[in-house]
Amino acid sequence: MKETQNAIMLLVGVAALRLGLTDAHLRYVKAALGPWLVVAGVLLVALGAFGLLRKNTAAAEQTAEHLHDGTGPDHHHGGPAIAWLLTLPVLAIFLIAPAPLGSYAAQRNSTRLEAPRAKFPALPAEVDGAVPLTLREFNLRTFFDDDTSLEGKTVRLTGFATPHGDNEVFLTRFILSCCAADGRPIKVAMMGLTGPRPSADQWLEVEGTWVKPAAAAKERALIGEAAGLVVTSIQAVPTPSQTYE
Amino acid sequence: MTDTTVEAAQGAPASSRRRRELPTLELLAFTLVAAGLLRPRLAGLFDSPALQTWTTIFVSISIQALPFLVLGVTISGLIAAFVPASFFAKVLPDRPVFAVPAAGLAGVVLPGCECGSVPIAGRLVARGVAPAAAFAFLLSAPAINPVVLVATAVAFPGRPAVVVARFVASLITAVVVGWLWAAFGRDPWITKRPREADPEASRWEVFRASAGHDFLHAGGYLVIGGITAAFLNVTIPESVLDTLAGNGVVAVLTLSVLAVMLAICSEADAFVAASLSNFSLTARLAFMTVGPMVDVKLIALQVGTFGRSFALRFAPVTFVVAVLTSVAVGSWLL
Repeated sequence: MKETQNAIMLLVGVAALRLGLTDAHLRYVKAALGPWLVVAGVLLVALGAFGLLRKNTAAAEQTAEHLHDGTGPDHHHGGPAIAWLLTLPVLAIFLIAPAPLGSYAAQRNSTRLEAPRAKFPALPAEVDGAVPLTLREFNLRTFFDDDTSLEGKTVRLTGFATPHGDNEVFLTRFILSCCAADGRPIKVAMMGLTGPRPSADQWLEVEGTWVKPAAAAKERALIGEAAGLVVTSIQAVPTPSQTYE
Repeated sequence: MTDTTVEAAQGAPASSRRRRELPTLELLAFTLVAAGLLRPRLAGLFDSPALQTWTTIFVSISIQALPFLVLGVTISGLIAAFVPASFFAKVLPDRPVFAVPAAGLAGVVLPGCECGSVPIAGRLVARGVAPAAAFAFLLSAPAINPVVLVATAVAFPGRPAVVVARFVASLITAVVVGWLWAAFGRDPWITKRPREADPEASRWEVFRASAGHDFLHAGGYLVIGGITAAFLNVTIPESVLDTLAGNGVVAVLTLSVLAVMLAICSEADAFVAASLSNFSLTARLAFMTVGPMVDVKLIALQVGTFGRSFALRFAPVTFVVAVLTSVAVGSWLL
Protein backbone atom coordinates (compact mmCIF):
# COMPACT_ATOMS: atom_id res chain seq x y z
CA MET A 1 0.00 0.00 0.00
CA LYS A 2 2.59 2.61 1.01
CA GLU A 3 4.74 1.12 -1.73
CA THR A 4 2.44 2.62 -4.33
CA GLN A 5 2.78 6.08 -2.82
CA ASN A 6 6.55 5.82 -2.86
CA ALA A 7 6.45 4.53 -6.44
CA ILE A 8 4.36 7.56 -7.46
CA MET A 9 6.88 9.87 -5.79
CA LEU A 10 9.67 8.12 -7.67
CA LEU A 11 7.76 8.54 -10.95
CA VAL A 12 7.21 12.27 -10.41
CA GLY A 13 10.91 12.62 -9.59
CA VAL A 14 11.93 10.82 -12.78
CA ALA A 15 9.59 13.06 -14.81
CA ALA A 16 11.12 16.18 -13.20
CA LEU A 17 14.65 14.92 -13.94
CA ARG A 18 13.75 14.09 -17.51
CA LEU A 19 12.38 17.61 -18.08
CA GLY A 20 15.09 19.41 -16.13
CA LEU A 21 18.04 17.59 -17.72
CA THR A 22 16.82 18.05 -21.31
CA ASP A 23 15.47 21.02 -23.23
CA ALA A 24 11.95 19.65 -22.73
CA HIS A 25 11.26 21.95 -19.77
CA LEU A 26 11.61 24.96 -22.08
CA ARG A 27 8.18 24.10 -23.50
CA TYR A 28 6.49 24.73 -20.18
CA VAL A 29 8.57 26.96 -17.89
CA LYS A 30 11.24 29.64 -18.13
CA ALA A 31 14.80 28.38 -18.49
CA ALA A 32 15.85 29.49 -15.00
CA LEU A 33 13.55 26.87 -13.45
CA GLY A 34 15.43 23.99 -15.15
CA PRO A 35 18.12 23.47 -12.44
CA TRP A 36 15.46 23.62 -9.72
CA LEU A 37 13.51 20.89 -11.47
CA VAL A 38 16.66 18.74 -11.30
CA VAL A 39 17.06 19.46 -7.57
CA ALA A 40 13.39 18.64 -6.93
CA GLY A 41 13.69 15.50 -9.07
CA VAL A 42 16.74 14.24 -7.15
CA LEU A 43 15.00 14.80 -3.81
CA LEU A 44 11.81 13.07 -4.92
CA VAL A 45 13.69 10.10 -6.40
CA ALA A 46 15.65 9.79 -3.15
CA LEU A 47 12.53 10.02 -0.98
CA GLY A 48 10.67 7.51 -3.13
CA ALA A 49 13.57 5.06 -3.42
CA PHE A 50 14.41 5.14 0.30
CA GLY A 51 10.73 4.73 1.09
CA LEU A 52 10.51 1.65 -1.12
CA LEU A 53 13.66 0.16 0.43
CA ARG A 54 12.62 0.92 3.99
CA LYS A 55 9.32 -0.80 3.42
CA ASN A 56 11.07 -4.12 3.47
CA THR A 57 11.87 -3.93 7.15
CA ALA A 58 9.19 -4.53 9.74
CA ALA A 59 10.35 -1.61 11.86
CA ALA A 60 9.80 0.85 9.09
CA GLU A 61 6.38 -0.61 8.44
CA GLN A 62 5.43 0.12 11.99
CA THR A 63 6.78 3.67 11.93
CA ALA A 64 4.83 4.45 8.81
CA GLU A 65 1.69 3.01 10.34
CA HIS A 66 2.09 5.18 13.39
CA LEU A 67 2.67 8.24 11.25
CA HIS A 68 -0.14 7.88 8.83
CA ASP A 69 -3.05 5.98 10.21
CA GLY A 70 -6.53 7.33 10.48
CA THR A 71 -5.93 11.06 10.05
CA GLY A 72 -8.63 11.39 7.44
CA PRO A 73 -10.95 9.54 5.16
CA ASP A 74 -8.37 9.23 2.41
CA HIS A 75 -5.74 7.65 4.63
CA HIS A 76 -7.13 4.16 4.82
CA HIS A 77 -4.57 2.73 2.46
CA GLY A 78 -1.71 3.94 4.60
CA GLY A 79 -1.13 6.94 2.33
CA PRO A 80 -3.27 9.60 0.70
CA ALA A 81 -5.27 8.20 -2.21
CA ILE A 82 -5.31 11.71 -3.71
CA ALA A 83 -1.65 11.11 -4.61
CA TRP A 84 -2.85 9.03 -7.54
CA LEU A 85 -3.68 12.28 -9.31
CA LEU A 86 0.04 12.98 -9.52
CA THR A 87 0.23 10.31 -12.22
CA LEU A 88 -1.78 12.61 -14.53
CA PRO A 89 0.93 15.22 -15.21
CA VAL A 90 3.50 12.41 -15.42
CA LEU A 91 1.44 10.58 -18.04
CA ALA A 92 0.86 13.86 -19.90
CA ILE A 93 4.60 14.56 -19.97
CA PHE A 94 5.66 11.12 -21.19
CA LEU A 95 2.76 10.17 -23.44
CA ILE A 96 1.33 13.38 -24.85
CA ALA A 97 4.34 15.70 -24.48
CA PRO A 98 2.15 18.74 -25.21
CA ALA A 99 3.61 21.28 -27.62
CA PRO A 100 4.60 24.79 -26.52
CA LEU A 101 1.91 27.48 -26.74
CA GLY A 102 1.08 28.12 -30.39
CA SER A 103 -1.28 29.87 -32.75
CA TYR A 104 -4.45 28.67 -31.02
CA ALA A 105 -3.53 30.41 -27.77
CA ALA A 106 -2.14 33.41 -29.69
CA GLN A 107 -5.41 33.95 -31.55
CA ARG A 108 -7.32 34.11 -28.30
CA ASN A 109 -5.14 36.72 -26.63
CA SER A 110 -3.34 39.95 -27.26
CA THR A 111 -0.74 41.75 -25.21
CA ARG A 112 -0.61 45.38 -24.28
CA LEU A 113 2.94 46.56 -24.10
CA GLU A 114 3.65 49.53 -21.91
CA ALA A 115 6.03 52.27 -22.94
CA PRO A 116 9.45 51.72 -21.38
CA ARG A 117 10.66 54.44 -19.04
CA ALA A 118 14.26 54.57 -20.26
CA LYS A 119 15.37 55.72 -23.71
CA PHE A 120 16.11 52.99 -26.23
CA PRO A 121 19.78 52.00 -26.61
CA ALA A 122 21.33 51.95 -30.09
CA LEU A 123 20.10 49.17 -32.37
CA PRO A 124 22.21 45.99 -32.33
CA ALA A 125 24.66 45.53 -35.20
CA GLU A 126 23.49 44.08 -38.49
CA VAL A 127 24.16 40.39 -39.13
CA ASP A 128 24.15 39.33 -42.80
CA GLY A 129 22.47 42.54 -43.86
CA ALA A 130 19.67 42.70 -41.27
CA VAL A 131 19.27 43.64 -37.60
CA PRO A 132 18.14 40.66 -35.52
CA LEU A 133 15.44 41.73 -33.04
CA THR A 134 12.96 40.04 -30.74
CA LEU A 135 9.30 40.60 -31.58
CA ARG A 136 8.89 42.47 -28.31
CA GLU A 137 11.74 44.85 -29.05
CA PHE A 138 10.43 45.44 -32.57
CA ASN A 139 6.96 46.30 -31.23
CA LEU A 140 8.34 48.61 -28.55
CA ARG A 141 10.61 50.47 -30.97
CA THR A 142 7.82 50.78 -33.52
CA PHE A 143 5.39 52.43 -31.13
CA PHE A 144 7.50 54.17 -28.51
CA ASP A 145 10.90 55.13 -29.95
CA ASP A 146 11.04 58.91 -30.35
CA ASP A 147 14.29 58.59 -32.33
CA THR A 148 12.62 56.27 -34.89
CA SER A 149 15.67 54.01 -34.83
CA LEU A 150 13.96 51.51 -37.15
CA GLU A 151 13.77 54.04 -40.00
CA GLY A 152 15.62 52.76 -43.08
CA LYS A 153 16.73 49.52 -41.40
CA THR A 154 16.10 45.96 -42.46
CA VAL A 155 15.27 43.78 -39.46
CA ARG A 156 15.18 40.00 -39.03
CA LEU A 157 12.49 38.44 -36.82
CA THR A 158 11.80 34.82 -35.92
CA GLY A 159 8.43 33.48 -34.81
CA PHE A 160 5.54 31.24 -35.75
CA ALA A 161 2.62 32.02 -38.07
CA THR A 162 -0.76 32.86 -36.57
CA PRO A 163 -3.50 33.27 -39.20
CA HIS A 164 -5.70 36.30 -38.56
CA GLY A 165 -8.99 37.00 -40.33
CA ASP A 166 -9.32 35.90 -43.94
CA ASN A 167 -5.89 36.62 -45.33
CA GLU A 168 -3.70 38.30 -42.72
CA VAL A 169 -0.89 36.44 -40.95
CA PHE A 170 0.82 37.49 -37.75
CA LEU A 171 4.36 36.53 -36.90
CA THR A 172 4.03 35.52 -33.24
CA ARG A 173 6.03 34.62 -30.20
CA PHE A 174 5.03 34.16 -26.55
CA ILE A 175 6.84 35.80 -23.65
CA LEU A 176 6.90 33.91 -20.34
CA SER A 177 7.53 35.23 -16.85
CA CYS A 178 7.34 31.89 -15.06
CA CYS A 179 5.35 29.24 -16.92
CA ALA A 180 3.05 28.87 -19.91
CA ALA A 181 0.05 29.80 -17.75
CA ASP A 182 1.29 33.41 -17.80
CA GLY A 183 2.37 33.35 -21.47
CA ARG A 184 1.48 36.48 -23.44
CA PRO A 185 1.64 36.59 -27.25
CA ILE A 186 3.63 39.29 -29.05
CA LYS A 187 2.54 39.78 -32.66
CA VAL A 188 3.85 41.46 -35.79
CA ALA A 189 1.52 41.90 -38.78
CA MET A 190 3.28 40.70 -41.93
CA MET A 191 2.50 42.82 -45.00
CA GLY A 192 3.22 42.47 -48.69
CA LEU A 193 3.39 38.69 -48.56
CA THR A 194 3.47 37.00 -51.94
CA GLY A 195 3.11 33.28 -52.52
CA PRO A 196 1.09 30.85 -50.45
CA ARG A 197 -0.04 31.91 -46.98
CA PRO A 198 2.16 30.30 -44.29
CA SER A 199 0.27 27.61 -42.39
CA ALA A 200 -0.56 27.99 -38.70
CA ASP A 201 2.30 27.29 -36.28
CA GLN A 202 4.92 27.15 -39.06
CA TRP A 203 8.14 28.72 -37.77
CA LEU A 204 9.47 31.49 -39.99
CA GLU A 205 12.51 33.71 -40.31
CA VAL A 206 11.36 36.98 -41.80
CA GLU A 207 13.23 40.06 -42.98
CA GLY A 208 11.62 43.38 -43.72
CA THR A 209 11.19 47.03 -42.87
CA TRP A 210 8.99 48.69 -40.32
CA VAL A 211 5.68 50.41 -40.94
CA LYS A 212 5.63 53.82 -39.34
CA PRO A 213 2.52 54.08 -37.13
CA ALA A 214 0.17 57.02 -37.66
CA ALA A 215 0.90 60.12 -35.57
CA ALA A 216 -1.50 59.27 -32.76
CA ALA A 217 -0.41 55.66 -32.71
CA LYS A 218 1.26 55.71 -29.31
CA GLU A 219 -2.03 54.49 -27.92
CA ARG A 220 -1.98 51.47 -30.18
CA ALA A 221 0.28 49.30 -28.06
CA LEU A 222 -2.16 49.92 -25.26
CA ILE A 223 -5.02 48.42 -27.23
CA GLY A 224 -2.99 45.38 -28.14
CA GLU A 225 -2.42 46.16 -31.79
CA ALA A 226 0.54 44.57 -33.53
CA ALA A 227 3.38 46.46 -35.21
CA GLY A 228 3.57 46.08 -38.99
CA LEU A 229 6.44 44.68 -41.07
CA VAL A 230 6.77 44.98 -44.85
CA VAL A 231 8.26 41.59 -45.67
CA THR A 232 11.16 41.43 -48.12
CA SER A 233 12.24 37.86 -47.46
CA ILE A 234 10.54 34.94 -45.73
CA GLN A 235 11.69 31.38 -45.17
CA ALA A 236 10.48 28.42 -43.13
CA VAL A 237 12.83 27.35 -40.32
CA PRO A 238 12.73 24.41 -37.90
CA THR A 239 11.09 24.96 -34.49
CA PRO A 240 13.75 26.36 -32.11
CA SER A 241 14.38 24.61 -28.79
CA GLN A 242 13.46 27.83 -26.97
CA THR A 243 10.14 28.89 -28.48
CA TYR A 244 9.48 31.68 -25.97
CA GLU A 245 11.05 35.12 -25.76
CA MET B 1 -0.25 -6.02 9.62
CA THR B 2 2.61 -7.18 11.77
CA ASP B 3 1.13 -7.07 15.24
CA THR B 4 -2.40 -7.51 16.49
CA THR B 5 -2.09 -4.98 19.31
CA VAL B 6 -2.02 -2.06 16.90
CA GLU B 7 -5.09 -3.41 15.18
CA ALA B 8 -6.94 -3.97 18.41
CA ALA B 9 -6.12 -0.50 19.61
CA GLN B 10 -7.44 1.05 16.44
CA GLY B 11 -10.62 -1.00 16.33
CA ALA B 12 -12.97 -0.77 13.40
CA PRO B 13 -11.02 1.57 11.11
CA ALA B 14 -8.05 -0.77 11.07
CA SER B 15 -10.07 -3.81 10.10
CA SER B 16 -12.02 -1.94 7.45
CA ARG B 17 -8.74 -0.65 6.10
CA ARG B 18 -7.51 -4.16 5.85
CA ARG B 19 -10.54 -5.24 3.88
CA ARG B 20 -10.20 -2.31 1.51
CA GLU B 21 -6.59 -3.02 0.68
CA LEU B 22 -6.04 -3.23 -3.07
CA PRO B 23 -3.04 -4.52 -4.96
CA THR B 24 -2.34 -0.87 -5.75
CA LEU B 25 1.29 -1.23 -6.83
CA GLU B 26 0.16 -3.73 -9.46
CA LEU B 27 -2.64 -1.36 -10.41
CA LEU B 28 -0.12 1.45 -10.89
CA ALA B 29 2.09 -0.75 -13.06
CA PHE B 30 -0.93 -1.85 -15.09
CA THR B 31 -2.04 1.77 -15.61
CA LEU B 32 1.40 2.75 -16.87
CA VAL B 33 1.67 -0.19 -19.25
CA ALA B 34 -1.86 0.34 -20.56
CA ALA B 35 -1.19 4.05 -21.08
CA GLY B 36 2.05 3.21 -22.90
CA LEU B 37 0.26 0.80 -25.23
CA LEU B 38 -2.49 3.34 -25.91
CA ARG B 39 0.02 6.09 -26.59
CA PRO B 40 -0.61 6.47 -30.36
CA ARG B 41 -4.34 6.74 -29.78
CA LEU B 42 -3.87 9.13 -26.86
CA ALA B 43 -1.67 11.45 -28.89
CA GLY B 44 -4.31 11.56 -31.63
CA LEU B 45 -6.97 12.40 -29.07
CA PHE B 46 -5.00 15.46 -28.02
CA ASP B 47 -4.60 16.81 -31.55
CA SER B 48 -7.38 19.32 -31.05
CA PRO B 49 -5.65 22.68 -30.49
CA ALA B 50 -7.89 23.59 -27.54
CA LEU B 51 -7.14 20.32 -25.75
CA GLN B 52 -3.46 20.59 -26.65
CA THR B 53 -3.29 24.12 -25.19
CA TRP B 54 -5.13 22.95 -22.08
CA THR B 55 -2.63 20.12 -21.63
CA THR B 56 0.31 22.49 -22.12
CA ILE B 57 -0.98 24.86 -19.45
CA PHE B 58 -1.90 22.02 -17.08
CA VAL B 59 1.59 20.49 -17.37
CA SER B 60 3.16 23.96 -17.03
CA ILE B 61 1.34 24.75 -13.80
CA SER B 62 2.23 21.33 -12.35
CA ILE B 63 5.90 21.58 -13.39
CA GLN B 64 6.29 25.18 -12.28
CA ALA B 65 4.87 24.41 -8.85
CA LEU B 66 6.98 21.30 -8.32
CA PRO B 67 10.28 22.87 -7.11
CA PHE B 68 8.37 25.18 -4.76
CA LEU B 69 6.26 22.34 -3.43
CA VAL B 70 9.38 20.24 -2.82
CA LEU B 71 10.99 23.19 -1.00
CA GLY B 72 7.85 23.53 1.12
CA VAL B 73 7.60 19.86 2.09
CA THR B 74 11.35 19.72 2.78
CA ILE B 75 11.02 22.58 5.27
CA SER B 76 7.87 20.97 6.66
CA GLY B 77 9.72 17.66 7.10
CA LEU B 78 12.69 19.37 8.73
CA ILE B 79 10.37 21.13 11.18
CA ALA B 80 8.69 17.82 12.00
CA ALA B 81 12.02 16.07 12.55
CA PHE B 82 14.29 18.68 14.10
CA VAL B 83 12.33 21.62 15.57
CA PRO B 84 10.76 20.83 18.93
CA ALA B 85 7.28 22.21 19.58
CA SER B 86 8.68 24.23 22.47
CA PHE B 87 10.74 26.30 20.01
CA PHE B 88 7.68 28.01 18.54
CA ALA B 89 6.22 28.61 21.98
CA LYS B 90 9.46 30.41 22.84
CA VAL B 91 9.88 32.59 19.73
CA LEU B 92 6.25 33.56 19.14
CA PRO B 93 4.50 35.95 21.52
CA ASP B 94 1.83 34.27 23.67
CA ARG B 95 -1.05 36.55 22.77
CA PRO B 96 -2.45 36.23 19.24
CA VAL B 97 -2.66 40.03 18.98
CA PHE B 98 1.16 40.05 18.77
CA ALA B 99 1.82 36.54 17.48
CA VAL B 100 -0.20 37.15 14.29
CA PRO B 101 1.77 40.18 13.00
CA ALA B 102 5.04 38.52 14.05
CA ALA B 103 4.20 35.40 12.03
CA GLY B 104 2.97 37.55 9.13
CA LEU B 105 6.28 39.41 9.00
CA ALA B 106 8.16 36.11 9.21
CA GLY B 107 6.75 35.36 5.75
CA VAL B 108 9.51 37.59 4.37
CA VAL B 109 12.03 34.76 4.80
CA LEU B 110 10.42 32.11 2.59
CA PRO B 111 11.55 32.67 -1.01
CA GLY B 112 8.99 31.04 -3.23
CA CYS B 113 5.46 31.01 -4.44
CA GLU B 114 2.29 29.94 -2.76
CA CYS B 115 2.38 26.16 -3.18
CA GLY B 116 5.22 25.79 -0.68
CA SER B 117 3.65 27.70 2.18
CA VAL B 118 0.55 25.50 2.62
CA PRO B 119 2.36 22.34 3.83
CA ILE B 120 4.57 24.48 6.08
CA ALA B 121 1.55 26.14 7.68
CA GLY B 122 -0.03 22.70 8.13
CA ARG B 123 3.08 21.49 9.92
CA LEU B 124 3.19 24.62 12.13
CA VAL B 125 -0.40 23.98 13.25
CA ALA B 126 0.48 20.35 13.99
CA ARG B 127 3.46 21.54 16.05
CA GLY B 128 1.18 23.58 18.28
CA VAL B 129 1.58 27.04 16.74
CA ALA B 130 -1.63 29.05 17.18
CA PRO B 131 -3.63 28.56 13.94
CA ALA B 132 -4.18 32.33 13.64
CA ALA B 133 -0.41 32.90 13.51
CA ALA B 134 0.18 30.00 11.11
CA PHE B 135 -2.48 31.37 8.77
CA ALA B 136 -0.95 34.86 8.80
CA PHE B 137 2.31 33.22 7.71
CA LEU B 138 0.49 31.12 5.11
CA LEU B 139 -1.00 34.25 3.52
CA SER B 140 1.94 36.63 3.74
CA ALA B 141 4.86 34.36 2.77
CA PRO B 142 4.06 34.02 -0.96
CA ALA B 143 3.33 37.73 -1.36
CA ILE B 144 5.98 39.66 0.57
CA ASN B 145 9.16 37.63 0.13
CA PRO B 146 12.12 39.33 -1.60
CA VAL B 147 11.87 37.28 -4.81
CA VAL B 148 8.28 38.35 -5.40
CA LEU B 149 8.96 41.99 -4.50
CA VAL B 150 11.93 42.15 -6.88
CA ALA B 151 9.82 40.58 -9.64
CA THR B 152 7.17 43.23 -8.99
CA ALA B 153 9.75 46.01 -9.23
CA VAL B 154 10.99 44.61 -12.54
CA ALA B 155 7.45 44.32 -13.91
CA PHE B 156 6.61 47.92 -12.96
CA PRO B 157 9.79 49.83 -13.81
CA GLY B 158 10.00 53.34 -12.40
CA ARG B 159 6.99 52.79 -10.13
CA PRO B 160 8.33 51.81 -6.68
CA ALA B 161 4.95 52.78 -5.21
CA VAL B 162 3.47 49.58 -6.69
CA VAL B 163 6.02 47.46 -4.81
CA VAL B 164 5.36 49.31 -1.55
CA ALA B 165 1.60 49.05 -2.04
CA ARG B 166 1.86 45.31 -2.72
CA PHE B 167 3.92 44.73 0.44
CA VAL B 168 1.63 46.84 2.62
CA ALA B 169 -1.66 45.48 1.24
CA SER B 170 -0.50 41.84 1.48
CA LEU B 171 0.83 42.19 5.03
CA ILE B 172 -2.29 44.00 6.25
CA THR B 173 -4.54 41.35 4.67
CA ALA B 174 -2.54 38.51 6.24
CA VAL B 175 -2.60 40.11 9.69
CA VAL B 176 -6.29 41.07 9.54
CA VAL B 177 -7.32 37.55 8.46
CA GLY B 178 -5.11 36.12 11.24
CA TRP B 179 -6.78 38.36 13.81
CA LEU B 180 -10.23 37.48 12.45
CA TRP B 181 -9.36 33.81 12.94
CA ALA B 182 -8.10 34.51 16.48
CA ALA B 183 -11.36 36.31 17.29
CA PHE B 184 -13.96 34.20 15.49
CA GLY B 185 -12.25 31.05 14.20
CA ARG B 186 -13.05 27.70 15.76
CA ASP B 187 -10.69 24.77 15.91
CA PRO B 188 -13.32 22.15 14.89
CA TRP B 189 -13.41 23.80 11.44
CA ILE B 190 -9.91 22.42 10.91
CA THR B 191 -10.97 18.86 10.18
CA LYS B 192 -7.61 17.66 8.96
CA ARG B 193 -4.13 18.23 10.26
CA PRO B 194 -0.86 16.39 9.77
CA ARG B 195 -0.24 13.63 12.28
CA GLU B 196 2.59 14.22 14.67
CA ALA B 197 5.43 11.77 14.30
CA ASP B 198 6.06 8.70 16.42
CA PRO B 199 8.46 9.92 19.16
CA GLU B 200 10.42 6.65 18.99
CA ALA B 201 11.21 6.84 15.27
CA SER B 202 14.60 8.12 14.15
CA ARG B 203 14.72 11.75 13.03
CA TRP B 204 15.69 10.79 9.51
CA GLU B 205 12.72 8.42 9.35
CA VAL B 206 10.39 11.15 10.63
CA PHE B 207 11.74 13.55 7.99
CA ARG B 208 11.35 11.02 5.19
CA ALA B 209 7.84 9.99 6.18
CA SER B 210 6.60 13.56 6.84
CA ALA B 211 8.08 15.14 3.72
CA GLY B 212 6.89 12.25 1.55
CA HIS B 213 3.41 12.27 2.99
CA ASP B 214 3.06 16.05 2.68
CA PHE B 215 4.29 15.95 -0.90
CA LEU B 216 1.89 13.24 -2.02
CA HIS B 217 -0.99 14.90 -0.25
CA ALA B 218 -0.41 18.48 -1.36
CA GLY B 219 0.68 17.32 -4.82
CA GLY B 220 -2.57 15.48 -5.43
CA TYR B 221 -4.60 18.58 -4.59
CA LEU B 222 -2.25 20.73 -6.63
CA VAL B 223 -3.16 18.61 -9.66
CA ILE B 224 -6.86 19.35 -9.08
CA GLY B 225 -6.02 23.05 -8.93
CA GLY B 226 -3.89 22.82 -12.07
CA ILE B 227 -6.67 21.10 -14.02
CA THR B 228 -9.14 23.81 -13.00
CA ALA B 229 -6.82 26.74 -13.64
CA ALA B 230 -5.84 25.40 -17.08
CA PHE B 231 -9.51 25.00 -17.99
CA LEU B 232 -10.31 28.59 -16.98
CA ASN B 233 -7.17 29.85 -18.67
CA VAL B 234 -8.24 28.37 -22.01
CA THR B 235 -11.93 29.26 -21.77
CA ILE B 236 -12.12 32.84 -20.43
CA PRO B 237 -12.58 35.09 -23.47
CA GLU B 238 -10.36 38.12 -23.41
CA SER B 239 -13.02 40.38 -24.93
CA VAL B 240 -15.04 40.11 -21.72
CA LEU B 241 -12.14 41.60 -19.77
CA ASP B 242 -11.87 44.64 -22.03
CA THR B 243 -15.49 45.61 -21.51
CA LEU B 244 -15.06 45.51 -17.72
CA ALA B 245 -11.88 47.56 -17.46
CA GLY B 246 -13.46 51.03 -17.51
CA ASN B 247 -15.65 51.05 -14.39
CA GLY B 248 -13.64 51.49 -11.17
CA VAL B 249 -15.41 49.06 -8.85
CA VAL B 250 -16.19 46.52 -11.57
CA ALA B 251 -12.54 46.60 -12.67
CA VAL B 252 -11.31 45.78 -9.15
CA LEU B 253 -13.77 42.91 -8.78
CA THR B 254 -12.99 41.59 -12.27
CA LEU B 255 -9.26 41.35 -11.68
CA SER B 256 -9.77 39.92 -8.19
CA VAL B 257 -11.94 37.13 -9.58
CA LEU B 258 -9.51 36.65 -12.47
CA ALA B 259 -6.66 36.19 -9.96
CA VAL B 260 -8.64 33.40 -8.27
CA MET B 261 -9.37 31.65 -11.56
CA LEU B 262 -5.99 31.90 -13.30
CA ALA B 263 -3.87 30.70 -10.33
CA ILE B 264 -0.68 32.30 -11.61
CA CYS B 265 2.47 31.81 -9.53
CA SER B 266 3.10 34.79 -7.25
CA GLU B 267 6.52 35.31 -8.80
CA ALA B 268 4.96 35.88 -12.21
CA ASP B 269 1.65 37.58 -11.48
CA ALA B 270 3.21 41.06 -11.46
CA PHE B 271 4.14 40.65 -15.13
CA VAL B 272 0.59 39.67 -16.01
CA ALA B 273 -0.71 42.58 -13.93
CA ALA B 274 1.61 44.95 -15.78
CA SER B 275 0.19 43.79 -19.12
CA LEU B 276 -3.40 44.41 -17.97
CA SER B 277 -2.70 48.06 -18.54
CA ASN B 278 -6.23 49.16 -19.42
CA PHE B 279 -7.20 48.41 -15.81
CA SER B 280 -6.56 50.89 -12.99
CA LEU B 281 -3.47 50.41 -10.80
CA THR B 282 -5.73 49.72 -7.82
CA ALA B 283 -7.46 46.90 -9.74
CA ARG B 284 -4.05 45.48 -10.62
CA LEU B 285 -2.96 45.76 -6.98
CA ALA B 286 -6.03 43.70 -6.03
CA PHE B 287 -4.98 41.13 -8.65
CA MET B 288 -1.55 40.84 -7.02
CA THR B 289 -2.89 40.79 -3.45
CA VAL B 290 -5.65 38.24 -4.01
CA GLY B 291 -3.68 35.88 -6.30
CA PRO B 292 -1.05 34.60 -3.81
CA MET B 293 -3.71 34.20 -1.08
CA VAL B 294 -6.81 32.85 -2.81
CA ASP B 295 -6.85 30.93 -6.08
CA VAL B 296 -8.31 27.64 -7.31
CA LYS B 297 -5.01 25.82 -6.79
CA LEU B 298 -4.58 27.17 -3.24
CA ILE B 299 -8.18 26.40 -2.31
CA ALA B 300 -7.60 22.79 -3.42
CA LEU B 301 -4.38 22.67 -1.35
CA GLN B 302 -6.16 24.11 1.70
CA VAL B 303 -9.00 21.60 1.39
CA GLY B 304 -6.37 18.88 1.34
CA THR B 305 -4.34 20.20 4.26
CA PHE B 306 -6.96 21.61 6.63
CA GLY B 307 -10.25 20.14 5.39
CA ARG B 308 -13.24 21.39 3.42
CA SER B 309 -15.12 23.13 6.23
CA PHE B 310 -11.99 25.19 6.87
CA ALA B 311 -11.35 26.17 3.26
CA LEU B 312 -15.00 27.08 2.61
CA ARG B 313 -14.79 29.70 5.36
CA PHE B 314 -11.17 30.79 5.10
CA ALA B 315 -10.95 31.43 1.33
CA PRO B 316 -14.02 33.72 1.00
CA VAL B 317 -13.08 35.74 4.09
CA THR B 318 -9.52 36.14 2.81
CA PHE B 319 -10.87 37.21 -0.59
CA VAL B 320 -13.09 39.94 0.87
CA VAL B 321 -10.37 41.26 3.19
CA ALA B 322 -7.80 41.25 0.36
CA VAL B 323 -10.09 43.19 -2.01
CA LEU B 324 -11.05 45.79 0.62
CA THR B 325 -7.43 46.23 1.73
CA SER B 326 -6.28 46.62 -1.87
CA VAL B 327 -8.84 49.35 -2.53
CA ALA B 328 -7.85 51.19 0.66
CA VAL B 329 -4.10 50.87 0.09
CA GLY B 330 -4.49 51.59 -3.64
CA SER B 331 -6.33 54.85 -3.09
CA TRP B 332 -3.75 55.84 -0.47
CA LEU B 333 -0.49 54.93 -2.23
CA LEU B 334 -1.21 54.64 -5.98
